[in-house]
Amino acid sequence: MSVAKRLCLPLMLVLAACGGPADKPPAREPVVMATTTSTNDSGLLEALMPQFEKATGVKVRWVSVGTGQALKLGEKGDADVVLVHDRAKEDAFVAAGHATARRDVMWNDFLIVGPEADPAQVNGEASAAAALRKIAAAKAPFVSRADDSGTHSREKALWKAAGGKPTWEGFAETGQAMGLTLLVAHERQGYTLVDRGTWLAFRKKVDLVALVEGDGALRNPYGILPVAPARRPGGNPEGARRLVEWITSPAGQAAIGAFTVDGAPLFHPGSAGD
Amino acid sequence: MELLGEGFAKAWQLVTSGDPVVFHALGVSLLCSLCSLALAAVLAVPYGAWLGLARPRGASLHVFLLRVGLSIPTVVIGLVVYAFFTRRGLLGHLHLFHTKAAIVIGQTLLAFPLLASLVHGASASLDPIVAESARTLGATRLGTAARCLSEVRPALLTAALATLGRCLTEVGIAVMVGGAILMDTRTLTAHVQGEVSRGSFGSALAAGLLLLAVAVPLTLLGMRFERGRRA
Amino acid sequence: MISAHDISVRFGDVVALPPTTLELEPGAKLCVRGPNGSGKSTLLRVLAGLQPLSEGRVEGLVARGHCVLVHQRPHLFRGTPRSNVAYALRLAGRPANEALGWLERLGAGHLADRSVAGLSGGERRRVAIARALARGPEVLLLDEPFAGLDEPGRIAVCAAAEHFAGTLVVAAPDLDGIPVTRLHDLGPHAQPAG
Repeated sequence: MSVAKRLCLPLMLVLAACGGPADKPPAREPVVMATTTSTNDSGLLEALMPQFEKATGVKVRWVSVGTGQALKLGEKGDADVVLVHDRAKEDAFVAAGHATARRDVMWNDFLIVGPEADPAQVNGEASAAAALRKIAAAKAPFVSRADDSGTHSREKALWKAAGGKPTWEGFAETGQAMGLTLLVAHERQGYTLVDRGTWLAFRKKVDLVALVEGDGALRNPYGILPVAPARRPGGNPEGARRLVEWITSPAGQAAIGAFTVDGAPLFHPGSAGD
Repeated sequence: MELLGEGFAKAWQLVTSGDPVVFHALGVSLLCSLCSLALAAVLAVPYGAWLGLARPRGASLHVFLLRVGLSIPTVVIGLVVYAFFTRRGLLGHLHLFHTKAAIVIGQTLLAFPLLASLVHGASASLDPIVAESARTLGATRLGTAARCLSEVRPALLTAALATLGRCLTEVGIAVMVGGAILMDTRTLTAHVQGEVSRGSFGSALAAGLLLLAVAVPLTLLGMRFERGRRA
Repeated sequence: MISAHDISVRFGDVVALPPTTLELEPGAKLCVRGPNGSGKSTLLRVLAGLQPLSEGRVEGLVARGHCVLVHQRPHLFRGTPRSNVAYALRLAGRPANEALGWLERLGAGHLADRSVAGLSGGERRRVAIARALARGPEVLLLDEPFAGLDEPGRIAVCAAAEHFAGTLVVAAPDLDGIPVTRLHDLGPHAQPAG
């Protein structure tokens, strides 16, 4: 028998020993999480997930896309768990049976930023909706993401509270991520709604200042939704359950609170209390 | 699979309903890409032809640099243009950022190495007898070059279409440098990216199919030029 | 008057044209004869101004376009024989409708509007010669014009060469009825030694 043929049988035995389904540990595949670009860009997941993996031995892989796309991935069964910040869409997701439940994870906030010259004079305004009304009245440049993201949904809600959004020439829509939208606002010296994480990352790069913050309506709660196992055959529902459990546990919540950007904590654990 | 069906159905809807957002984006894409191709051609065609026909000393270094240039990601080109034209940049006072002009600048930088390399390739592969035939009949240096390029018209057409396609399908520059502003600087590719981002895969695919549909008459037009006048 | 003194062409160690001396008065009809590799084509290329010399000088070379070379295996530009001849006419500043006349003189009139891609070797040569003549050169250089040509083709080329009023230089392995008055032999030369 030639050398090759002699090796065949032992080789096949080795391969068989390496793994059949019965040999694999329970959490065999990484948990796939679909989340938003702003969550990813904040750097929170890079700090948090290793802690989770260390505590439980479960690996997590995440993709960051737009809010709409993240939920779509969950719906199509391309993710085990979804982490987004758009309460209305999350509730609809659960109602449609795509997720078993929704849990509060953390919240951060939005702010309205704009040019230092502040032509609409919204600096220090307590109500975000009132500020938007002033901006529209002044016909000042305003840049909107207009992409059905969590940020955009909040913007739409604020306009509604302000009594509707008029159209004026200074109003521009990018349909793109927050960073890019902020850059457009910077170039045009206009106003925009931005999440705290992106703001902390970009504030030194743009000639804009924070003008309106602290309004309860600007709070941005995050929800985590484990995808219904029926939607994702061959997924890792057990791993997803453990992730949800950990992230809402005292240990996970403390880790969230300990995460800082530029020296300041970015996310507040718990529910936004609305 | 249903995604594809949805895509085709939505594409038909788009065309028949004349969705202004999508058609404006298509217009921006075509305008910017055609301008970039034209601007790049002004420099790239003579340059590539010179490298391939005149074979100057150091030509291989030029060719090497051009080919390396082919591997620069569009986002990087976008960043370079950003660095110059942003408010705080050297050319910020021109207020060109987030305009269609800025997209054209970026896409011209993208198009140049591609077009120049392809024109060089086509001219370098010409048998020297072609240039000699023209020269001996008394054509000037420029006339000889023109005659040589005319001989490789199919390759030049492919070069132009490949370059145009590269500009039409890129999204890194269009978004970074144009800002993807609705009804202003949003190209079709930026629109598709936006649709995907919100989970509207069907309409994203539809918009993509629209771009493909436009490519058909463009290619046919090009091939008519390739066959040339029977003079 | 074209004169060449001890001209030679070398590519490294390879001698393409051994040292040659030549004089051509206007209207001369010369055949450059020699076996393959003796340097006939190279000499023609030097006279056409397409080949730089390694040694020696040529004096009296006419201006570009007035000394036309027809290659051994000529290249016809994309299009038709008519468009090729028209190209030469354009360069000469003559009207394009003279094209057919030149083609007919070479017995290629019936090929005028065929695509060049479908022509045989002999047909291509006839068209190339017509194209060269249409340019109206003072000096005509033909590199092995009879190779692969059939009898009617040879007759047509001979007639055209006879009619040509300027200086004619034909490279050929043998005289074969070419209408020349002088002969310059390029014998087989020694192998390169440096």
